[in-house]
Amino acid sequence: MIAAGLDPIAQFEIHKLLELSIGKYDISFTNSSLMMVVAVLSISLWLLLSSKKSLVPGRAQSIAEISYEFVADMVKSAAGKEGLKFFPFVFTLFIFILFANLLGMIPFFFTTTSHIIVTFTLAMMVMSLVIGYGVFKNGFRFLKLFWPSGIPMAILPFVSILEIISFVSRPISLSVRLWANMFAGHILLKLFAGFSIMMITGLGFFPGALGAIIPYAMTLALTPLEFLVAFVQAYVFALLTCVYLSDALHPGHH
Amino acid sequence: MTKKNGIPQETKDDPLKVFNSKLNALKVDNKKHEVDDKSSGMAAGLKYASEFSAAVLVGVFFGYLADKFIGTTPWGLLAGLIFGFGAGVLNVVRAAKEGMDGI
Repeated sequence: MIAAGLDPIAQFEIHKLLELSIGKYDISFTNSSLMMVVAVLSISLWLLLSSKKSLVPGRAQSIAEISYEFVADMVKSAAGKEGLKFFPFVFTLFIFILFANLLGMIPFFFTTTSHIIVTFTLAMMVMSLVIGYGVFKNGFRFLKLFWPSGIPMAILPFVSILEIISFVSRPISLSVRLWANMFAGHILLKLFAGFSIMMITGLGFFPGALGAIIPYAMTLALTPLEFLVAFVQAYVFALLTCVYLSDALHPGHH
Repeated sequence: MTKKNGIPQETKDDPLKVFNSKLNALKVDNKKHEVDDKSSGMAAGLKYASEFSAAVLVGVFFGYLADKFIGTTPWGLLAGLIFGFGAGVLNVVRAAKEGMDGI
């Protein structure tokens, strides 16, 4: 009764805003799609409005230039100079995930990245690019990734099996890491905020407000941490994308 | 003579000092790339947990597929579980080696 509206899972529910379907496939426009559109629109607005290309950059242009250099440095350090041809892809991924995470921190906004199907789709995009480009550029030498050199012949087949399993598990671990961080963080926030409301509604204002101090302090402490997690997870996703892309660029040496 | 002695000593000292200041500058420059994540142990835990469990899941899935199509019913799943376990350890070691501490 007290907990009505305080369900920590309810924030992840998908609502259809516009019913659409092609054949038997349901492609309805949901609140999740809406947040993706909001993220893309705000990114486009920011980048278009800040590209006046003045020699002395203003505030918005500085942020755009700093984020450009941040991602370019990351690509260069993880995948080398050749990796820079993937810069547009990595930059798009990083900025999209960052905006989706940060927009989710606004109260009553939906967090797109708290659904594993979204993060898994992003991870599969990365993996298909790695496999596609790796095979396109290296041909059969791409399979060297699963056939490491300098290992005794006797155990090489087993190592090769381990390498294959490890490679296939990459999109799963990549998507689970982003999803679990966002999901768990939002549940924690909602739980502690809900505790303090339940204290007051359950115990009345005077003893309840005293009891609510501790969960309220936890909420206060968790909020900046969640902003940090939102940034760090976008960074990790982009960085791992670069690491995997460097495998496609130079298979053979790990 | 004393001046001559003094000058080589100074020039001998100088490259080291210059190198040290360069090194310190580089250290500061490198430090800004490390994302300070000491505060989020959960992120570190999720990193290793996802790396390990994903490999086990994939290994079991491969074993299950082998069972289904070759018909070696319990053995493929068991071998897949063991190989998945091994690949999980490999993943965790790699994740720890990547140097992205705590991420």
